[in-house]
Amino acid sequence: MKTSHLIPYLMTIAVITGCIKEDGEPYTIERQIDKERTIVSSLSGYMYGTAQKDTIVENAFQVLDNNDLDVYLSLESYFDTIEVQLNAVKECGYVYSTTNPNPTVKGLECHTFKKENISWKGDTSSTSLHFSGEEHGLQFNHNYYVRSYVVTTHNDTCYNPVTCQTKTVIPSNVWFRRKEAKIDARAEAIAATTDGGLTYIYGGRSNTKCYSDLWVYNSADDTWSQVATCEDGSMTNSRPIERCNGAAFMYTKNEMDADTLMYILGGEDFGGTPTKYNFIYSLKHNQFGSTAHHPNNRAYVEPFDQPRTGIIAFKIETPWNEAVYAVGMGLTQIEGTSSSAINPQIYYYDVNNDKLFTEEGKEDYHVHTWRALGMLSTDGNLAIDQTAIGFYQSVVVKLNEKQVIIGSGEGSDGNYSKIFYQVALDDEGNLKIVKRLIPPDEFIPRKNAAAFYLNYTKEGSEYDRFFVGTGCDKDGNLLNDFWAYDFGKATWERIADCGNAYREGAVSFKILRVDDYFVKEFAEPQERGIVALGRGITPSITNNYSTKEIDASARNDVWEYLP
Amino acid sequence: MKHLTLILLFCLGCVAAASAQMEEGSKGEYRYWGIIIGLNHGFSAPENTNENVMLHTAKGDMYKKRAGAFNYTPGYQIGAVYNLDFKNNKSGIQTGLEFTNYGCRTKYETRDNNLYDMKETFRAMAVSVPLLLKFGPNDIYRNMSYITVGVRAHYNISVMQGQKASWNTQKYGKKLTGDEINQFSVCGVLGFNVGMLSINANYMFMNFINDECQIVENGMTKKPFEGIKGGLYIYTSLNIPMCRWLTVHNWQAEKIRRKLHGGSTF
Repeated sequence: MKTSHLIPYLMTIAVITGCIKEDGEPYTIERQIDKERTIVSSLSGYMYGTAQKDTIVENAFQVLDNNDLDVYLSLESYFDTIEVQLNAVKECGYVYSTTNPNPTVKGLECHTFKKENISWKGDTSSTSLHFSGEEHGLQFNHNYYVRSYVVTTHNDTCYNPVTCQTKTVIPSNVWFRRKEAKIDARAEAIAATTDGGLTYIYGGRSNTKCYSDLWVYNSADDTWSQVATCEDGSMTNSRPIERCNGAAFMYTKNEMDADTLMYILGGEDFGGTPTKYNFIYSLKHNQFGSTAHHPNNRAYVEPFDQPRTGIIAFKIETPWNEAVYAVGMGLTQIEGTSSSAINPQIYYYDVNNDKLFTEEGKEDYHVHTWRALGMLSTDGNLAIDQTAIGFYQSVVVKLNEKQVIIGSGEGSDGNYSKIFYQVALDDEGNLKIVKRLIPPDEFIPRKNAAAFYLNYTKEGSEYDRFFVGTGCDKDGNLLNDFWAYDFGKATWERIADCGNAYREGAVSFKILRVDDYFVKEFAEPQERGIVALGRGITPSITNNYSTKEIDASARNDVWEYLP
Repeated sequence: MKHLTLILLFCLGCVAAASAQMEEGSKGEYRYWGIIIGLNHGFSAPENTNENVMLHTAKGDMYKKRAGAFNYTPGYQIGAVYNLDFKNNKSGIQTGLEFTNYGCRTKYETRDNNLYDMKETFRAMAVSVPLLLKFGPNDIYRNMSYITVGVRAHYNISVMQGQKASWNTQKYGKKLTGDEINQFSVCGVLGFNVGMLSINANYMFMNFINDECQIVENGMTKKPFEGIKGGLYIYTSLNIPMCRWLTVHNWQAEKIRRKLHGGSTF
């Protein structure tokens, strides 16, 4: 090769391989996508702007009217400061897939949420885009990829580049919604359960009034039925009949005329004025008791000595198997005044020893009366010289025939309690504290909570657990957390949050599902917990994520806990 | 221009050393210089796996995906090698100094649509030192036929990043510095030589781009070159042995030798 050919050869090589000069602006950019804000897609590509990540609001299942189960996902999306004006968006929705991690509208094995399940929110003239959607008919325990999309007036489809990946619920440690109770929404209804497992609720308070109707829940067919409405006419001395925030127990008569009486005790009217008057409902005769002062009137229930509200009532047996019907604590008002105080006293209805009632012009007759049963104290067993403790709107749950759990509520010092007392009667028939159940620090002290007790077998292990949750904290925030105390391990555990609303004043009880879908398909326990009605609020961007009691409203939804 | 000057000086140096070598007699059979000049062919398309690195298009920032795992990127090398053959004539060592220009190119497309694409090229200028073992079944000197295996170490003098986007005519170029590059990179070499043609495959274990490079910007740590790994390069070169072998096999070379030694070409 001639040297003279070398230089052009080298120059040719240099040209072929190309030279890169420092110039211009880069065509790549690194954007940090954190969990809260992403870049939104537009015009088949991307918009400038920021968006909150698609949020999974609900991942749950419900029981339909035909008793089929419906697994569903509910999402909410919010985009702001987008360059493309909102009216350039003609459609929005969600697309999902079980296999494709970046689902698209026409992608393989991809589906979109039904259009009728997409809701626009917010002002369409703004540059904010806010919408939500839900999809039903999904499968249990399945992996889903889902993300939002927007179709502009240019017919371009844009996707949120961050896909939500979630697994739908499995039927264990889960709350699911049952058919809506066909009663008016209400809170602080008065409830009691018969020995046969039927739960009756009376009264309660909506946003505008108190009720005087009686309903029963039958777990066998998951139905709510209105049993009766208390009429004012014959209840002159038992007013107000429209009431809430009272208590009730079921008294079983084993006499010749066997009957079960629901004692409706204390409470307050819509204005918040406590009452001392009580009345009964006869399950056998399907009627409310008249309170005419008549000799041997079985319908007569002695009033309390003072008006009481936010009380508890329960049935408990003595060591010698005698049933004791107890009521107490709560807020006591000095009649004729506006002064009130939390009363630690618990009374029992003395069905054995009557008092002689004398009324002029009438024959003397005997009536049952309320007698002091005792008080709980901070130091353990009852003693006159120890500090008694009482609570307003505490919970009481039956453990067995001889023990109950009493706890939480507002104390006389204004503080809310989070301690629960396992209570029984001693050999002399006095209340005694068997054990204190003290939740961990994360448990918020509360009042007006919901609670129940379940004893069940799951996957070969037996569980003996007390459940408590929801309620209202001292700052007026409603709660939806739920906790379980395991008697076997003596430990507390936070379980799934209850439903989609933060609530207080719900009714709660235990039921038995004999052969439902979960028992048959998943061998789930038959014992379940129910939390229904109450006053609640669902935090969302539209209410500024409020959980305040003042913003809440009465509800009629029913939630079942599957352990 | 600066690079061209460097190359020319390099060549002159090689020629001078090689010319001196041609005077050697039998000693030159075992130890001799050679001039290497040729092209290298890069076939890798290293992918930036950082998902947060997006294509900054005219219509916004879009996720990218690599369009094809292979891309052809030419380069060149020029230098001098010193051959030290063993007395058995069947093996030897080859080392030297080369100036190498090599690179890699990757094409990206927008992931969620077919709107845009972008080609990104990284090109390095390096001084390379090959260290190869030569061996063959027969006399490796007679036909200059042997297999080479060894390593090639690069000292990367400068690395440039270039981008050409489909949505803009202007090209982008930037010189990478500091932590963005690996000053040294190493290839494993396997090839063969027949006559004056040398072909070898170089697999780069460590790329000249530092894929672990981190930049802190506005409180956020970024990894702009994450996932960009080494690749395969095929070197095709003229390996001109500056020894008696050349003048025996090439009349032009013989004439040059005679002229240099003041002799007649006839």
